Amino acid sequence: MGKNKPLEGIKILDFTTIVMGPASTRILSDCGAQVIKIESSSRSDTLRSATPYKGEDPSPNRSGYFAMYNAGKLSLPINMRNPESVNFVKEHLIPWADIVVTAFTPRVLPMWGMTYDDLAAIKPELIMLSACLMGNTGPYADLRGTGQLAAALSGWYENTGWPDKDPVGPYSAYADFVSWNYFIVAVMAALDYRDRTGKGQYIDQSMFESTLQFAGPQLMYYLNEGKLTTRMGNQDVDYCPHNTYPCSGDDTWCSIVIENNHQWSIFCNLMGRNDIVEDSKFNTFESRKINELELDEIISEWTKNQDSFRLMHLLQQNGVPAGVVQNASDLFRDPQLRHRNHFVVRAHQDMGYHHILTPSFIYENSDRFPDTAAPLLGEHLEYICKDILDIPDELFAELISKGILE
Amino acid sequence: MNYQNAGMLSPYKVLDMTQGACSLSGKIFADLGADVIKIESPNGDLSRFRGPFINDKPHIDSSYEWHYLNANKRGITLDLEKNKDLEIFKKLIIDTDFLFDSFDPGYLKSKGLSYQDLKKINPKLIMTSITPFGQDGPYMNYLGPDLVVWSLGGYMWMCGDPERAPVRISITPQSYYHASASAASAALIALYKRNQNEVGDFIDQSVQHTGPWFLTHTYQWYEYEDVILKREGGWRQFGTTRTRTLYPCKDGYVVFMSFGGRLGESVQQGVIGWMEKEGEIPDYLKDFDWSTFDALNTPEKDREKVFGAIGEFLKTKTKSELLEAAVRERYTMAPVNHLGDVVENPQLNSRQFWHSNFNKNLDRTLKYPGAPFLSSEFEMKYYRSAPLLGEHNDEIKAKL
Repeated sequence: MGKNKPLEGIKILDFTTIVMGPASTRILSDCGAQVIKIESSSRSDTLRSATPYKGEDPSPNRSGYFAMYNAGKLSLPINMRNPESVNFVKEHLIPWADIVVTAFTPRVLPMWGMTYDDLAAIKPELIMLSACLMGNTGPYADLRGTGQLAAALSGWYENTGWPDKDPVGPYSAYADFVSWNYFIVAVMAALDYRDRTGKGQYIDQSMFESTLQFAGPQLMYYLNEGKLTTRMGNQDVDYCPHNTYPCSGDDTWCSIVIENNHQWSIFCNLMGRNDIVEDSKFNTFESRKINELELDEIISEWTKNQDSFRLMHLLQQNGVPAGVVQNASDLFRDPQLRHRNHFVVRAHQDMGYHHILTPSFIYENSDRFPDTAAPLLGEHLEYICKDILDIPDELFAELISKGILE
Repeated sequence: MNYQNAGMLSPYKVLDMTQGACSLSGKIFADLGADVIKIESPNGDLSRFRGPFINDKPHIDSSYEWHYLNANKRGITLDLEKNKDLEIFKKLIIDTDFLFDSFDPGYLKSKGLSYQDLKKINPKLIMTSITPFGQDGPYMNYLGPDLVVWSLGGYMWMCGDPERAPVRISITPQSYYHASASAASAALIALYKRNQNEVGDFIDQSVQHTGPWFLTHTYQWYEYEDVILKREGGWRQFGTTRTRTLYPCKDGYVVFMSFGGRLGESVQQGVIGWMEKEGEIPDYLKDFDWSTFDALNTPEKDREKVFGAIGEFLKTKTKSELLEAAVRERYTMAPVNHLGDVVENPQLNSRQFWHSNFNKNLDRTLKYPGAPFLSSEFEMKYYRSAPLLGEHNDEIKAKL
């Protein structure tokens, strides 16, 4: 206790759903920002209906998927399909917010009269970030979809998998995982700029363009040379051996990377194969690369009956890079991640105690653990209206009876 | 001489002492207008030795990774094994706002350059260290090249074909890009606090720790239901059910996501509507009740009747036909692009995503991918080519 959070006092009005926006605002919330998540019972975050549920029956309040990316936030239920709701947002929430973030397809905000120009007319220093799949302008701006589609569009499928098999792509919505960093960078840089100059700004974030940032060198290779990269399994252009090898037990694997000839000789010694250290088939990176398949068979033969963790520790303790391919169960127990408190346990009214992942960075002088579990749908209706927004009782009753607040 | 681009972070000075892909952290600041100095050892940064290379010829100034990650920065060389250079580094720290490094834990401390040392010189310093596993803990001294840390981070377990080994992403090193972008985020978050209290901070950014963030609900399936999800190739597993995501088309593949419920209804109607217009719809789909069809909770055999028919239709169309139709008919589908398709994409061209900058050291223009987001206040530009080794040594040291 005792350490402050870096973003105490920052207020974020959050209209985003699914993963990219919510993961970003979760990290900002972990770091101390107050985040009001706008949803309603008629239109809740899609993740609230995503498995698994903690407890017997499905409930929007017990989705583990939602819990992962929404811990620490406050939930305010507004029915945005009610035309009067936009006025409520403009009168009460925009004046409160430093930052407004959305993840709608580009046609939604103009339809509501909630473009940046509309909102900046009320509050010129407002920062607004609108994220969507393809960006808010351009011929394909209206394409709907999640980061899985952005991952296919931006080359991650083509460049993940085995050369002799389908381009299966990385797991889930990869473009979300790349883009959320840029979401955070954008709003934090804009906040600093506002505090220096008094000027707000609008940020148009295309998930497609954000995710291409992690393929820069390969894009430049095509842009400048006209040459393409493709998937190559677990091989690498600079290192060999470089693969994931079977270990004892079902579907158990250990990755091993040899970065130089020094590691190669240590590795051969540990394998009990000093005979191949100087073998002309394997004694240089170039020769190992030519004979990579044969070498991988030799290594697999050695690893296949070994305990994956014992093998990793043996190699690492001798200066050879190795890592078990960890599944969810392994990650729960991982001693290094535990050392970093990768989970905190928080109580939730309907879900009880459960684990919440913490940010991957640790501050020396600041706290960054989520304070609370994810909110129930509409949990903070009264608290937000009465304690944060100071809405008088009569108006509050009217907003409820008109169906603006649900 | 104007060293900087006008940008959101123009007032700030950054020392980027990272290696290889970790230079993305400094790039994010440089592209937003900060004055970023890349510090290399006299041997040169790792990126200089990593392909792909200009004309496929390895050379210290030819790596695309180097050019991409270090444009908009100035560059100096320092040999931290030499006292003279340590003193230069300490002088540079005096008015530095952000320092990024990726040395092994303990290395900077051994040189008298730990955060505890540096904050005595500059209490406002925000220092971020990127390491495979973190600054301390049982694996702190383990080696963590991309494949290893990607394995231990857990995401790789979920990637690839079920009948083969887990697989990493072949555009490498993704794990280090994630950690570097996260480090930039963390440092900017710390800046807000520094603006309030005038005190900097130290950030311990682990590469491994970024991995679990990409696991969506994988942890929860294990914690609540004792189910360990695993890789499913061209399918996507939703706990106990799964749905197909990868479909062959006429000239490659597309990814098509379909669920049940409200979203699924409109998505399926979009593509079925188009099939109907083209007259290629099987009888059993004609009066199909989409409102009650739940793609995730229908037995796989029945579901495949629906998606099998859609799949047959997709085989008759090209990637670009399917993308244009997806925009028009409002269904969720995207082509599996290679990077050439990306470069030709009309959306990116219309948003002027691609940039060019003449590189006088190479005597040629290089093209680059553009900004991660568009700001109403600033336009990201490539205004300075990545430096030659030690290009700005004299200029920067003369000012100290």
